[in-house]
Amino acid sequence: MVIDPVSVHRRVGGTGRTATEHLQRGMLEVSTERLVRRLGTLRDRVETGMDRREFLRTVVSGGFAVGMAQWLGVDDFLAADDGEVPVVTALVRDDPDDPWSVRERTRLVPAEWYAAVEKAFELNDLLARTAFTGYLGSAVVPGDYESGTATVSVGLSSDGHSLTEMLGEVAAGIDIDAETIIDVEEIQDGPESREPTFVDAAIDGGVPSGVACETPSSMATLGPALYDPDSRQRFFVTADHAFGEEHDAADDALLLPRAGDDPVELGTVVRYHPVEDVAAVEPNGWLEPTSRIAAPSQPRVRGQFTKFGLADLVARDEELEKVGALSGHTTGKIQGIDAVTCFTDDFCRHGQIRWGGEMDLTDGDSGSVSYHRDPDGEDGDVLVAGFNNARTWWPGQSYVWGVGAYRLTENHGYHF
Amino acid sequence: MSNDTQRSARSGRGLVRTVASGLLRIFADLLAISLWVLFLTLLFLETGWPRWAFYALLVVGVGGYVTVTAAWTGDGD
Repeated sequence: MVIDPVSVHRRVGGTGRTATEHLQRGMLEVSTERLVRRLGTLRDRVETGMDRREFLRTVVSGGFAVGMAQWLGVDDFLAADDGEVPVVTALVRDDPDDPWSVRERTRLVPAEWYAAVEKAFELNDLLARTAFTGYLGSAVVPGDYESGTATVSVGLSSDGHSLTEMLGEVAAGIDIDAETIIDVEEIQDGPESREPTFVDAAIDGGVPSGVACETPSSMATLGPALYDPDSRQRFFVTADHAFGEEHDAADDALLLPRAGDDPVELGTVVRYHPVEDVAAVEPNGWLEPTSRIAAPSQPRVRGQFTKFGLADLVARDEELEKVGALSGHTTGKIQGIDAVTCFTDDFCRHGQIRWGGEMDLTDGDSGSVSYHRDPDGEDGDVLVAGFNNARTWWPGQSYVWGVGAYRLTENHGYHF
Repeated sequence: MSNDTQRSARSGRGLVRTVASGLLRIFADLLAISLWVLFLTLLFLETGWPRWAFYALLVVGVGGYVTVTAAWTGDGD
């Protein structure tokens, strides 16, 4: 930054100008003089306080910092106006009996809140893609509509890596390795039903979600019917990990144990999705998957929430419910959405939902879905949030996690 | 240019060391500042504080960082 005061003066101090021009030039001259004086004092100070190299370092670092802030797009949410913007919150069937009549549902949300949440999604994605050493996962926690904010909660390993320590120190105020994000629910539908729920022997064609199903290696919970709009197929679904590490292709049958009767075969797995932890089973018997859930109120699945639909639920402090074959019906608060988890396996799972507490899920509940009442639907209509596949087992955090329905739709086209 | 050549001729190892330590310092600076920007971004996302405060903290942080580390390297030398 080099400004030569003499040349500046020469440039502005011309002759043959009108009065207005003179006035303008005069003002310019004054402000230029002030700038020059200011730079001069700055340089003086620099010369006394820090040497020229440090001054240069400050300027370069400051420029880099501002540039990076621009690149991260901080102005997107810092300068968002107070208006409202429409967001798609759910994919819902027009006709509850026709699974192919899916329509988007929108809702108006504050622009400020939208900008913050959208930016949080982007930053979360950036963190996951950078995947620096010590990164275990992260999640977005939208604030309420009044606040217009969002939090990115980052989990770091305590291996003592220098970068981890650095980030931990720098970001001590933020939810790094958050001990508690939201108050964890007290255990509700306690351990009174630790016996698996079996479907009645007299099933009339359709099997609801939330009952036990059997894979060759273990027991899991059956999810509601999953639809593939491309092939127009409907599938039984459950957790992929219930079939064990080794998938024996074409021989993985899913059985349905019945109360007081022999188990029946539901079908065989046609598609494994290990990253999402979902296995799609093609029906090959007289039993069909249905969009019902085996809760006391017999809810009917009418569709699913989108990513912003889940954010909207968090902003309004709504709860999710689930029905597992072992733990039964439980409810809990959402702790994070669009979460990335790298705790297990050598890859990271994206698009996860964290909700409830670790007592909401036990072995055998995998494959159940989390859902919430459809606010615009008929009585008993619910929308699916996502699958429940695992829970925390380490201290400090307590939640159930599984892939969001929107993630399945984005990656594979399925919908509920 | 001619200065550089003279200097490298005088002590090539010293130059290599200077360049290496300079690069290392630049990378350390960029890393620290990236983390600072990221931290501020996450903090302001969480709190919804105004924009001027963001840039003020950004610049103050950078200035403070340079001042502090300059003192360190000054002692080190």
